[in-house]
Amino acid sequence: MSDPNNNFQTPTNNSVKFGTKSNLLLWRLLSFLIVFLIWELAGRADISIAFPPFSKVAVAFVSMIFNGEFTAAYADSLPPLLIGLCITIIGGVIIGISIGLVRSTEWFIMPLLIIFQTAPVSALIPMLTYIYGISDTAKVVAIVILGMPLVALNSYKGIQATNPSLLEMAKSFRASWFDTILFVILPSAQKMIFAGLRLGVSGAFIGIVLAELLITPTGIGDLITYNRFVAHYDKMFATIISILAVAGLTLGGMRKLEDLLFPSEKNE
Amino acid sequence: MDDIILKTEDVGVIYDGSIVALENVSLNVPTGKLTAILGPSGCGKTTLLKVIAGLIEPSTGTVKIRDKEIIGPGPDRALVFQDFALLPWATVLQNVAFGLRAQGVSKREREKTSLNYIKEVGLSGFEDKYPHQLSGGMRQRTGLARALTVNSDILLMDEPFSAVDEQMRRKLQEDLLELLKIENKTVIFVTHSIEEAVYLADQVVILSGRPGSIAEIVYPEIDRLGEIDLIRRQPRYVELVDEIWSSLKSYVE
Repeated sequence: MSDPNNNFQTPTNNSVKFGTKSNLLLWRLLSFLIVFLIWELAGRADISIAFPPFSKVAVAFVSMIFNGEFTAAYADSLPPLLIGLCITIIGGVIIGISIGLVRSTEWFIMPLLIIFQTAPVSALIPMLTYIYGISDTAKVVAIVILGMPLVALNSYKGIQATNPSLLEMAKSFRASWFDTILFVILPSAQKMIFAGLRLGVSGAFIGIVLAELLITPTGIGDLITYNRFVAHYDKMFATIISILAVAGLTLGGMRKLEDLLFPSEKNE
Repeated sequence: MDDIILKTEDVGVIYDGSIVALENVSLNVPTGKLTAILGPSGCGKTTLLKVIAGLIEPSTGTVKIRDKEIIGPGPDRALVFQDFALLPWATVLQNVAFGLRAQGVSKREREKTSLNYIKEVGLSGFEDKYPHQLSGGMRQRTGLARALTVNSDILLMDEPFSAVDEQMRRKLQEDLLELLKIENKTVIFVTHSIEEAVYLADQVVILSGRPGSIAEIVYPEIDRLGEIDLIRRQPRYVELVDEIWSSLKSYVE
């Protein structure tokens, strides 16, 4: 056949429209700066003593890093969080993929997942105390309940959304079930699965904070509650910011990991 | 009479127990020839092709290849898809090699064969591009190369050029004819374009509207040995397009 060179379309680089990468970082920092500035002004307006200006919170934040308060709190919170995250991620993906692939499992697992996704799960958390007592197990269960349905449902939807034409193509070339899953279904679901993982991780962070606020007064949740009781509002906000930062960094890291693992991911 | 490689006998397809998509389709496909299945939209052309591909089980009748009834897809048939059906996350080379990979051919072997066909369809230099970096015509060349690598005797094409623009379609049609001079394949080609059917096919099977059944079979007998540019100027070509249109008109609402 003849040379089709003249039909070649150069891929367009979307980021060009929005500016360069370093520019993007600048805009992001600017958005933070504006929020902090408004916070500072609102804090100085003396609305309530429970709302300190940003500068005070920032000072408290730095002091808590160096006096070991954060270290002690996170040492309590991180182990159950990590265990919960592992169960959420591995369990959620496996459940989601199996109900996506095997119709019969869909019937008995889907209703449960939908209930957990839509129900006010935080209301169930105090009940966990009755079952597991004041323990790390209760925290882990809270994390899994809040995170896993999101991971499972997204993985399931990703599998279901596989282009039927690609499945037909695989069938016409007589690809085995295993090959079809490995080379067609999973790569096609990969974006949805990772989106689910990010939602699940956010859910897990909500789970650990709720559990520590409502059940077990330890770790990071306790740091919030304690500082509220003793009216150290600057420290309370500093703790909340630390959780947002840890959660934000984790999610950002997951994005980086996804780009690293699937650099060739290109969609039409 | 030519050798018959594929035969459908009284093939019928009923969807959902009541919708009759195809009825009593009996068709002989001669070896090494190009058979076009032509008809108005919704007449069951693609359904018939998918029955032949083994992707849809006929409700009645059978499909036989060399007098042996088919059960599902087989190594003797390869399909080219209307929407290309390329894996968006895989390169041209990986897409072309998909059929061989499914057959368990070793990486070295399948890359060697794939590169060969990539060259044959005119995509050399684009092996490492992704589908979204290609034009519609190039995507379908990729789909065609994938179907050629598995070396089946029968090439099934489902409106392969309908998703590309007119100029590209003509180019792809010409290239297909050139390619078929080298590759000895039997081709079954679904199209809704009368011109395309007459231009390409040795045998044009006209399906009537729903339920699809064979209304007429036309043998263009157009001389394709000479310059393919001249095919569209042959009086026989012009005549046939008119003839088929008057026969099809009654089925188009």
